[in-house]
Amino acid sequence: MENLENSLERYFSYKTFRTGQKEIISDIMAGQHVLATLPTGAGKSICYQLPALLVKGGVIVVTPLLSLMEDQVKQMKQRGYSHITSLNTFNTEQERLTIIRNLHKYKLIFLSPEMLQNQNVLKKLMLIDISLFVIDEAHCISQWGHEFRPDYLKLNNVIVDLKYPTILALTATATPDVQKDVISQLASVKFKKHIYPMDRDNIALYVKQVDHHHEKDRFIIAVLERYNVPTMIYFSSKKETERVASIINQRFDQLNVAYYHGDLDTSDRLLIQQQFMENQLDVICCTSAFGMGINKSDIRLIIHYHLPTQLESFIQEVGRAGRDQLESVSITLISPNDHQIPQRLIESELPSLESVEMLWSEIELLSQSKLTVKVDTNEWAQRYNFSEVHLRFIKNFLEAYGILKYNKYIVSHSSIHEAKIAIINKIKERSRYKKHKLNELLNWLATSGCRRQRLYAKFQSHISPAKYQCCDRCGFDLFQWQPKQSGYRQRINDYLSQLKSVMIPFNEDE
Amino acid sequence: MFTFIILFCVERLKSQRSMASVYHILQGKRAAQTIQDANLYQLTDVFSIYSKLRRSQFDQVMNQLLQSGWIALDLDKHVYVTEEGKKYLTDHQGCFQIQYFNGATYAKIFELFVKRFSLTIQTYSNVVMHRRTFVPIIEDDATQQWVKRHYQIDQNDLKAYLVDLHESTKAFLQTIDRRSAQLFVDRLTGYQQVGLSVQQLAKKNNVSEHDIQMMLTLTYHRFLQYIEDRRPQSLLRFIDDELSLVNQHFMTNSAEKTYQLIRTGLTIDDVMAVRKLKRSTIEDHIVELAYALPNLNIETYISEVDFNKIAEVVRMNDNRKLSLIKSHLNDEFNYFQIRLVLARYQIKLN
Repeated sequence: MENLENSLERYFSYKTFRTGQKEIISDIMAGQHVLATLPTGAGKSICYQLPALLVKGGVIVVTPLLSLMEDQVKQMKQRGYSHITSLNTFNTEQERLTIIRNLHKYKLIFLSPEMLQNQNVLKKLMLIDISLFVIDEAHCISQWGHEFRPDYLKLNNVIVDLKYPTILALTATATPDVQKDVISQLASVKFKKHIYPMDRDNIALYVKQVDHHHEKDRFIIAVLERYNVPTMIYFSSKKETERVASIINQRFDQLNVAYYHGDLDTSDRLLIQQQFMENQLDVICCTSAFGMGINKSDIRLIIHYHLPTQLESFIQEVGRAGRDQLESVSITLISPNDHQIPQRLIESELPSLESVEMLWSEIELLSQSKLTVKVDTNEWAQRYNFSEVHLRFIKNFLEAYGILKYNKYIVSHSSIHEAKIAIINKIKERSRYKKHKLNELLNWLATSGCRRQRLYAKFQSHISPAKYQCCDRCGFDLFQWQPKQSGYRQRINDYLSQLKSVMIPFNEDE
Repeated sequence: MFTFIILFCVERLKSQRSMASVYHILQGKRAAQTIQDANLYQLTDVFSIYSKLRRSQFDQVMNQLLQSGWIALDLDKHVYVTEEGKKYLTDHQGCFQIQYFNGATYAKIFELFVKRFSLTIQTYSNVVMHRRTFVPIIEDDATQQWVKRHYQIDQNDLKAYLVDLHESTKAFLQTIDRRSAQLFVDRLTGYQQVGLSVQQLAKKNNVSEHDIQMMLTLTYHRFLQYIEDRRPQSLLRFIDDELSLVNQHFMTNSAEKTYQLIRTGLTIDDVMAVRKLKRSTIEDHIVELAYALPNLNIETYISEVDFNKIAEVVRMNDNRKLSLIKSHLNDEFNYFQIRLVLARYQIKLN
C-alpha cells in the first residue's frame, strides 16, 4: 500500500498533512477507535474523507448540520469523487427511497442522527460492510455540549447493531467535561484520544464598549476607513446585515460589500460566497449561516456586531480569521443591554412552558377518550407555534415515555403526567444551562485579565503566547495594527472588455 | 419593468379575469385554463417569463399596485387597470421593449439554455487557466452532465471554442442596448471573476429584483431568437438537441395526445372511447389545438356558415366573455363552438 502522504497528494493535491491529521488517520486505519478534537479550519473532514478512499467497506458520517452535509457532498463531487451521498430531511420521499435502495453502492454516506432511527435505513446498513463510523460534531452527544441533540444518545445502540465498526468521534470544541461525557455515553467503545489545542496565537482580541448601538456603526466606519482587508462582520439579525451593508456601501465608494443570510436564494448565496473567496468582496455582513464550508485563508478581520450565545460559537467564528497564520484581529462591539439579543435567541430555542402545558392538556384529553388516537404532530407545531427543533424535542420525550408511537399515535399511558413533569424540568434545566453558557461569554467580555488566557482556559491547560499582538487588556492598540492592505479593485464597467476577460481569460497571441 | 408587464397583462385581460390568472400566466402554469387564457387574451408572449416567481411575492406586488391605485378589483373580483394605471402604460410605452418576449415558444428551453451557457463559460474559462476545482454556479445534475459530455469533445481545443463563443456572443450583444448588454455580462461567472447576484444587480441598476429578473429573461429571449435566426455553431449547440422543445406546440400534454388520435381520423366520440375521457375534456383539447395549430381543419366541428355568424357577433362586441357572446346569439350555439371561433378569430387578428 502506498503511504498516506502519497494518497493525500493523489486524491486531494495536498503535499503534507496538517497538525493531527496523519496521527488520527493512521490510528483509524489500524482499527483504533479515536476521539479527536481539532480546531475549526484544521481540516477535520480529511480525517474521514481520505480513509473513505482507502478502506474496503463503506464509511458512515453522522452529522447534525444539513448545510455541512450538502457542502461536503458538493466538494467531494467537485474532486471527481462520485460514490458519495447524503440522507436527510431535505431529500424528497422519492430521492430518499432511491438512495436507501442503492445504499450499498456508496462509499461515503452522510446521515442525520434522525435518519439512523429510521428502521429501513438501519436494516439496509446492517447488510453492508461498514468500515468506519464517524460521529461529527460529537459534542452533541453530551448534554454538557453546547448543542445537545437527544438522537445522538441513541448512537450507542446503532453502533452495537452495526457490530462495532471503527469509530471516529470528531469535534471542534469540547471542554474536558464534554470529552469525558462523550466517552461515558459511548461506553462500549474504547477510545484513543487525540486532543489538539484550539487557541489561535495569530489573532489579536479586541473588545470595544460603546454607549449606544449607533456608535457601533461609527466605529466600523472608522475601522474600515483605516483598513481595507478581507473582513467579516457577524450579526444575529438578518435585517441588520442588510442595514449595515448598505451604510458601508454608501460611505465607501471603493469598498465592495455584500450581505449574506439564510433568506437569500441558493444561487445568490453561491455567488456571494465565491465573490468573497475571489476577493471581489472586501466586506461581508453576515449571520452565522455564512462560514460553513468557507475555506478562505486570508480573512484578516472578524467583527462581532452582535454576540453569539456562547464562547464555543464565538471561538469558532473568530477562528475563521488568519488561517494563513498571518496577524489577524477580532473586534467585539458591545453596547449596554446587548446581552438581551442572545438571551431572546436562547429563549426561542426551547418551547415555552405554557405551550407545553397546553399540549399536554390536549394529550391528556385525547388519551382519556380512546386507547389509541391518531394525531398529526405537524398540526401541533402550527397550533402551539413550535419550531422544527421544538417539535423534535417534544416528540423525543413523548416517544421515550411510550406515549407517542410511530410518530402518529397517542397511546393511552399512565406516565403522561410523569412525562410532563420531566419535560418541564428538562426545559428549565436546558434554559438554565444555556443562560450559564451565555454568562460565560459575558464574563469573558467583562474580564480584566488577559483575554486570550481567559477565552481558552476552559478548553486547554496550556495556552500559547500571542505570536503578534495579544489583546486590549495586554495593551493591544487596534490602530497600531499594520496589516498588508488589499488594493482597491478596479471595477471595469465596459461590457465588451468584461465579456472578453470572462470568456478569453488567456492571452490570445500565445 | 415588472410593474409595466403586470399592468400590460391586466389591461389585456379586459377585466374578465382574477389576479391569479396573471400569476399563472407569468409563472407558466401548464394547465388548460392558463394556456387558454394566454391564447384568448394574446398573452402567449409573456407566458412563463417568470417561473421562479413565488405567489407571495406576486401578491405583494399586486397589493402595492392596488394601494397606489393603478389597478382595482370589480365586484366579481376581476382585476382591471385604472385611468392612472393606463397613464403609466401610455407614458412608458416602448420603454421596456417587451415585444421581444417570446414566452410560449421558449418556455421549455429558456432555463435550460441559461444553465448550460453559464456553466460552460464558468467551466471552460477556469479549466483553460488550469484551475480544475471550482464551485459550479449551476448545481443541477443534468446540466453538469451535459457540460461534461461536451467538455470531453472540446477539451483539446478549449481556446478555439472560447474564441468562437466570444465572437458570437459579442456579435449578439452589439445588436441590443448597452444597459441590457452590461447586465447580461455582469451576471456571467468565469475565471477569477464571479457574476453578480440578482440583489447586487438590482442595487447597481437602481431597480427592483423583479425588474432584474425580467430584464435578464428578455435579453435571453432575444439571444435565443438571434441564435435561431443566425445559427452560429458555437451557440446553437446549447439547444440543438432540444430544438423539438422550441417547436413543440403550445398545449397541454393531454391535448397533444388527443391531437395524435385526431390526426388518424378519429371523431370526438372515438377519442372519448379510446382515452376514457369526458366529451367536455376532449372539446377543451380541440380548442387548444385550434390555437396552437392554425392549419387544423375545424370544419368537422363547425360549419363555415355558423363560424361566420359567431364571428360577426365577436367582431361587433369587443368582448371575450363567452356567456355574453352566447346570449347575443340567442343561445343558438354551444360554448365549444364559440370557443373554436374565438380561437380562429384570434389567429386572424394576429
